[in-house]
Amino acid sequence: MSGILETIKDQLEGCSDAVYQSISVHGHTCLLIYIPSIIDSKTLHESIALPLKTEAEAKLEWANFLERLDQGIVFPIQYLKAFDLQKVVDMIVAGKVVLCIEDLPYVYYFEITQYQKRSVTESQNELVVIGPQEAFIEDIETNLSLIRHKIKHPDLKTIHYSIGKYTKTDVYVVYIEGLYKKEVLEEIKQKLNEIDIDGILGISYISEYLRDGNLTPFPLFQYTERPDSVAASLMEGRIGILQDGTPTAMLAPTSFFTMLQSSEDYYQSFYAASWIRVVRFLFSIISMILPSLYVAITTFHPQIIPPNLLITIASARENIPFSALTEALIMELTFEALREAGTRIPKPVGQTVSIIGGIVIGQAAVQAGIVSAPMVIVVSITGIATYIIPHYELGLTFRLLRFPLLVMGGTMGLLGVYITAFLIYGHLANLRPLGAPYLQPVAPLVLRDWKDTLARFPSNFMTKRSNLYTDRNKRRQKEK
Amino acid sequence: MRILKIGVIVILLLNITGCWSSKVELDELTFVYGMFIDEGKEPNTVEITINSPLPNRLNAAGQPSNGGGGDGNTYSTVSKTAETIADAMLLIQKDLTRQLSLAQLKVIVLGKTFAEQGISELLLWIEREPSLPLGAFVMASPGSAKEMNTLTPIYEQIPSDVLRNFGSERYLFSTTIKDCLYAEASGVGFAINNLSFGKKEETSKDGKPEFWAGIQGAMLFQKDKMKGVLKLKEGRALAWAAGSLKLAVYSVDWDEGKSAASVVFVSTKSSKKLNKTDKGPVFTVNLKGKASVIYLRDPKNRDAEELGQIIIAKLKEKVSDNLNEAIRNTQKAGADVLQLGLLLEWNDPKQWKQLRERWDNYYAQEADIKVKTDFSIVDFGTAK
Amino acid sequence: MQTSKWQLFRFFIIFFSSQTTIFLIPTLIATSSYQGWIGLIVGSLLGLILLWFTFHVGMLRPNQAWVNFGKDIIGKWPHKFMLLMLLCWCVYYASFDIENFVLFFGSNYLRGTPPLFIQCVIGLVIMYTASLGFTTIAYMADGLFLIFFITMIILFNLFLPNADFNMLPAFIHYHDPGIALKDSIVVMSWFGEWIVLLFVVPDLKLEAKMLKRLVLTGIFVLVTVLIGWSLTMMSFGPHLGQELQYPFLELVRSAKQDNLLGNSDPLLIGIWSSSMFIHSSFLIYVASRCVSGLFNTKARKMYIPFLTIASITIAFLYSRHIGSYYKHYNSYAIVVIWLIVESIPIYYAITAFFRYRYKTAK
Repeated sequence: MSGILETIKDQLEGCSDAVYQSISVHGHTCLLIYIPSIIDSKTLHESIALPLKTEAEAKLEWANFLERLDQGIVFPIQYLKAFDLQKVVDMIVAGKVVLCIEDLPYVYYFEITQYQKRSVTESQNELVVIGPQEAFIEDIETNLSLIRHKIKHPDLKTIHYSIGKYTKTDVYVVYIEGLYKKEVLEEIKQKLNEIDIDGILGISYISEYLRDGNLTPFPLFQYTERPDSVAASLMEGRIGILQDGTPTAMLAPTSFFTMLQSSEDYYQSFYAASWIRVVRFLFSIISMILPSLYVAITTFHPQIIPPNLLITIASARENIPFSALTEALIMELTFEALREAGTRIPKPVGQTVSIIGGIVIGQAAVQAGIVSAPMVIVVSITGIATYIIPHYELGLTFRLLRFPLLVMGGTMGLLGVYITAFLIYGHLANLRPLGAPYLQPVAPLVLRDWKDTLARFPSNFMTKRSNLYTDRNKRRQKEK
Repeated sequence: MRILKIGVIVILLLNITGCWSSKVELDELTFVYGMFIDEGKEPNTVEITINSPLPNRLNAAGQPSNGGGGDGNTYSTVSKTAETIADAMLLIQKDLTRQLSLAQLKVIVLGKTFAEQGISELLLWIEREPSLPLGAFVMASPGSAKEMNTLTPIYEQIPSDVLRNFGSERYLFSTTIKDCLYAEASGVGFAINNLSFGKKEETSKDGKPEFWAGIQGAMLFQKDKMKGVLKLKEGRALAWAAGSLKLAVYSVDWDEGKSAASVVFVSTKSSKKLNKTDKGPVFTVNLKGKASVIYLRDPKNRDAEELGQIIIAKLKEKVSDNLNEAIRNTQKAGADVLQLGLLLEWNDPKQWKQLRERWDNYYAQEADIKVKTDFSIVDFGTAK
Repeated sequence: MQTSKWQLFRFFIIFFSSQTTIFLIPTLIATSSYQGWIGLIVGSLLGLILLWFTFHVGMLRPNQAWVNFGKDIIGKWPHKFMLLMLLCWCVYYASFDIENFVLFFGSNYLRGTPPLFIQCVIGLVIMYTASLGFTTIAYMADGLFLIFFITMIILFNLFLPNADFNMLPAFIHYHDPGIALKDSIVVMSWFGEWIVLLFVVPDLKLEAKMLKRLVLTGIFVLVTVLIGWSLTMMSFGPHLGQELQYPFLELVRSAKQDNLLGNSDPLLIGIWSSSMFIHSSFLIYVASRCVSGLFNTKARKMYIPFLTIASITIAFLYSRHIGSYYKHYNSYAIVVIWLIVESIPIYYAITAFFRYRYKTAK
């Protein structure tokens, strides 16, 4: 035992928060090694220290004790043997309690890890009005429990990975047996096995590996912090990846239109949901092309504008020193700065900044004659439209792509807008993350999936799963 | 490979910022809303006047604001004379500090003398100009087109708006440039509104006289030359036959003037037919209308059915007379306004081949055009 | 590739409609005035004959690309010669596309912009799209189809009020067989571009049922062009119609003033231009496959920039001599060249027929 102890003490030198608790049982030393801040102290005292104490007081043989240890009946909780010393040290720093017995070449360990975590709260970024409100937290056990609460079926499989040399983060790949596409899971598993990195802190690290070098600005995987989204996606045949330490789950593969859906669409009546989806889709397109369309039309093609509106815009643009393109760029950049500042600002001053933003930039700039009023309207509508997109990362991409479109529209008119839009469209149609065409069901056109794209048909129409994510067991519910 | 492509795009883009003549800011453009074309004082010249709004004198709601200098007008008028239309437009452009844009053109007014000499040059120029909307209205002025410009707009902002409304409200004809081009290319004629112009004695601003414009009839064209004018009564009947009239009011009387009625036709349609006979083609113009009675005086208190029949018979007489008169006048003028030549071309190619060369002549001398009417009364208004 | 039954149908509708709807109609009005519909119908039916031959040549080896197995049928060097001819035709056709677009868009909306600039920008777009491969191009056409369809319906509704339906009897009264025959040949060259069907393999396997759907494609495009032609005729008449360069544009513009759509022709043209991009990029893609077949290499993407630059150069030279462009474009020689290239599958079919007859006889 002294050899084992030496090695362990050596590795943990400098970790003054490691505790070596020695208990003498039947004349031999048993040593408990653990780090108190990451274990469940209550369980330690009740289920480990107490039985040992009881054992120490009972008058029994040492060999009998060892035999009972072997049979697993000494402690009320589960304990296992470990032979690999390096693994033992890893276990101690990962929150397990190690029991070294004198003269034994192996050690026993107990899994009573308990980290500090916050409680399950409401979702902050994916709000719904009606429907479940809970969201994931950083602790993976809680997250898994939230999912298992939704799906109570033995086919829900969870594969464990431990990734990162220093972080040794627990990553779980979750899927439902019989629904997923085999090639997709194989590829994910292969990529996860290849990861050799110092540490992963956020789930985006994993997504970069799964991307396979694809340099697209569009998000290829969906992030969600709601367990009901994960459960619904799993039942569509998608595969979820959960990472310890991140309150966001990743779903793969995804498509563009999936990311424009919100879980609320399924909790409201289908009329309202369909209408809202149409509005959402319309405004997401607007958020990308409205500024460029406005600049292109007012600069190159004023004949499109109806005559009375034309006079209004022309008179508003009198005395503005900048060209329409410059004006648009100034306003857009200012709004981007405002948005970014709004995210970082400490809560006490948040209110002040929004007032300054509204009054100074909106009102005063127009009155000072730096920008024209129609331009402020256009930029504000665009800004609002960006936040209508449920998936945050897709909204970021649209914000980003607005600028090339704006520049092209301002320099080449509608031709520039068409060309850039066409190139973006071609790029999107070419994306096939994990084999699923990104723009399905629009390109390629799969009419059956349109029941759930721009409109949400009542649930008794949606009897089959989409072939985007699954190729077996298409049946969602019984057909009437 | 992709980086190379992106690099080329970027380099190209850097070269193009701001130096294309099609990239003109909105506030550097002058939109021409109305064009007025006259014969110039010297022979073989044209005088073009343009009418455009001044956005800097209109604030956002389109009402005149207090800014800007000049005489407080919210529109500007520029007039130039040159040998060809294109040259005249260039001279106008030279006088303006902003670039002309014809994309919002609403109305073109032709002076009488200009119309008489033929508008083929104008039509050819319009055909080739890509930014001109073919839906602009064409009208004629009794004297010079330029003076139409001086009318005082009351509900509208600029004079061209007033004239445009004359076209779009379908008071008489609502001929657009496309109709003119169509007729000229197909070898038939068309008719446009003949405006009237006068001084308004009742109101005058600061001692300056105010002018108003109205419609006094129709001007007839065959291909590109003006051939004659029609008075309002006949013009209206002709407009009905051409399908561009919206409302028509007719009054009739019987019993030696003791009974009278007025109707407004709420639906005015027409159709043209061709009958081939041994003596040649016979054209029939059929006017259909649904009338609503707006005034009725009947001392004999006849019942509705009898009254209806009388009114319809009288209307038929009156309208047919008007239309016959109108058609005779077009024939005298030699203007195939109802485009009966096309009807012949479509329905009887053999006959058309024979008559095509001398169609103008044939129409004036020999064409046999009959008029039919088909009226019905829809309601008698709110009194019994 | 994700396929559905009607995918090829949608792709070819976009492919064919792009050029025919805007550029065939003025030509037809000029040559055959009231009887253009006869030429249209007969010409497109003749085009279907070419489709039949092309399809059967493709079906000889449904899983293998024609580029590869063509030499088994007529020999290595004749096949290479055919590939070369097809290659040149694709590049030349793409240059026509580009020049058409430049004239169309440039003379109407972007006056003052040098044609070279527009040509380069369009060339870049075509380069990028062609390098994406047939699968992606087919997906893009799928997505565009719906928008295209809706736009067509809106456009036809826009044009209807302006049309003079009294002209309809004229269509029946005019029939001159000489003109009808000549026009049918011209229309056949427009509707007969089916040879590109041979290049959808290996992304898409050819099945016997596809023939029926492709015939439907031809009929659908025919109906669209027919409606467009008749509306143009009824709005402008043959005399004015043949003077106008772009009647479709004028049709949109001549809608009455208060209609919002009346002035929105640039927006509608944008939707058309996307179909034109797909047409040109697919042609360049076919050309690049031909090149890789000629030199027996797998590196297809590398040739695309060169091919596109070739097209741009030809378009640029034409833009400097506009007169010769119009002369060439409307000449009968082009029709003949087009027909020769489009009949390439016929040579293969006949040779295969004889060869396999010998083989079975043996």
